[in-house]
Amino acid sequence: MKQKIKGVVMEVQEHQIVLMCDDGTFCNVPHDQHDIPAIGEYVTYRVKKSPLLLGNRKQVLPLVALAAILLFAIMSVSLFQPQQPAYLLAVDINPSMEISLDEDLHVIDITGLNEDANLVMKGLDVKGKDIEKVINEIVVRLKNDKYLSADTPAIITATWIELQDHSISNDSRSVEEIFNHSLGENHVEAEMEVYVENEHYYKKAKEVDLSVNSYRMYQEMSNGEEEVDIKDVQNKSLKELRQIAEKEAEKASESKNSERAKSSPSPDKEEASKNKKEETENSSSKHNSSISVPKKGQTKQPKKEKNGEGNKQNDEQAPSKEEKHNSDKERNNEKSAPKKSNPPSNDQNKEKKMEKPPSNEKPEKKPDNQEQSDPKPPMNAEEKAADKGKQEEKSTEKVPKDQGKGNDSNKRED
Amino acid sequence: MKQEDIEHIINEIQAGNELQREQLIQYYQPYILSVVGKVCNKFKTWNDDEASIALIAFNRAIDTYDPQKGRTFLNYVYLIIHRELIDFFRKENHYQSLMKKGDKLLEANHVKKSVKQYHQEQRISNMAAEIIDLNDQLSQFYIRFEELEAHSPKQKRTRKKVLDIAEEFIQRETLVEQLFSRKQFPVKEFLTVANYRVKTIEKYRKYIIAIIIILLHPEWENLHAFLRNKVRGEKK
Repeated sequence: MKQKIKGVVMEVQEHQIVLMCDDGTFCNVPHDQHDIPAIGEYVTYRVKKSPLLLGNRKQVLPLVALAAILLFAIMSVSLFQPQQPAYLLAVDINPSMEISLDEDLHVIDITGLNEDANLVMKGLDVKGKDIEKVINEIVVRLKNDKYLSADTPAIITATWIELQDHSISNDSRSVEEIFNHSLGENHVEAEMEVYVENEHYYKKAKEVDLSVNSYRMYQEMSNGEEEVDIKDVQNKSLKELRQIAEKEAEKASESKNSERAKSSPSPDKEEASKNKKEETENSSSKHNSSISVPKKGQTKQPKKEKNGEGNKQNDEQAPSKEEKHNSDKERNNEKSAPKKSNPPSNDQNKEKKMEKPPSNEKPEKKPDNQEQSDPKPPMNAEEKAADKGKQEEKSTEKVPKDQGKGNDSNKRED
Repeated sequence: MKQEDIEHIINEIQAGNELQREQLIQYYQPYILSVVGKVCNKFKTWNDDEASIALIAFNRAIDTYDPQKGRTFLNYVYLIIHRELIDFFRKENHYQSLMKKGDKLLEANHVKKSVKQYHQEQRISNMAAEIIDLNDQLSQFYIRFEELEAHSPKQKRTRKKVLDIAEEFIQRETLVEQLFSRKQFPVKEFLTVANYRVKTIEKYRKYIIAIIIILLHPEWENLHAFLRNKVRGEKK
């Protein structure tokens, strides 16, 4: 903004001249280096003036005030706006809830996804607290409401969802540790599953109106043979879903087993369902851990059996995809296969070894294998009983870890 | 300083009063410097050759000034200094670069001299004389022109108020006497007789003093015109 100043030169100085303006006031004006007026001359100067300081203050002041008020308003609005969650932790026990966290892992909000969760969280004040405290508080409440207890281990499924592009290193691991810690403090047992997913996955789950963990179960179930209606899943808790999944697995194995002869089905079934679960979990998760609980609960037991047997079978049993080929091979040349794997044992044992896998794996195999393997299982039971001692020896030889477990499984089958 | 005073002083100096000469030179120092700047088109300090030459020229102007020739003293001084400086530039070979503007100046002064221009020149030199006088008066109060900007009222209303204060002040002769004897604005005494706020007077004190001095010198017609201008502006 340029302003015209007219006046009489009163004094000339090195960098400015003093003018007496028309209105009788005095002005100091920087002068042109190459045009110096003499005292008494009447001159006109164009001066750049900053409008704020030297302009008409009457007009400027309200403007400045308005700007300040606006600025303040904008600042305060942005201050009181809810924080953007950086992470989301979806926890399913039976109550399923979503904990939204900011970047420093402070809890912004908890949403209960079912009635159980809402009950548990009634009157829970979590805003701004550290995740550790909140989890601990939730565990305490769960314990009080008997969702968690010392003798019946529940399964806690937690999914760590990154809502923004944060490089997450060990956050999910630490979540697990936090849970384990608070579980230990409260003397309750639970099996812990922690998954890490991205926002996309969360949105997909939201699209079908499921909690993230239920959505995962749903996916696993629909990965299996049977189509699962999404509406069936929607209103059920994770626990129920789990049961359904197990039932289905049982059904599947039962239907297959019923075609076969009646060979010790009950442990097999259990194993099968367990097996399936394990496999699906492994395939979908980055890390999957189970807490080692001091007292062996019921859920632990079958797993171990399975492990024991699985290890025994290990020699022939490759990952499930290859099983088919293996079993086919076995059928084709029964004697050649065992020789490769365990030379020192006698033929009968080997046979039993080889033939045992098919019965366990039935649920996952395609039906065309069943007829081939059908006649064998009954034999297995008898032979096993007979060769119990030998088998024990063998198992110790082969896999030192599973000494005890081998025993267990044998007894049960008996 | 009125024209007659100057003539009188110069007569004395020409008769041999060296003290008066010294005082006169002192008195016109700012003007000399401003003329040097004007002729050189560049600001010069007393350390520059041009300033010394101008000072010598001014000294000669005192000696040679003749009021009968129809020029004011300042106009004459300007002419002499200008001529001397041009001579100096010619000697120093600066002339070529500076002559372009100097030519015009000479032309303006000698060839195209008209009545109008003559009047304008007269007015400028009169104005300069008044300003130099004012400066001299203000220096008694240790007020410099450059300070006055900060103490000038910016709003029309305050300007009017300040002018009112000054006008009221000069009505009281005792106060004016006090002002000049003490070289200080008698705020307390003034407030006992007039109803103004201390703050206003303190804020514009220097400006008020300047205005009072101008008002007390009705012979400074040009400067008075500015103050009257201001009042007229108020009435609009």
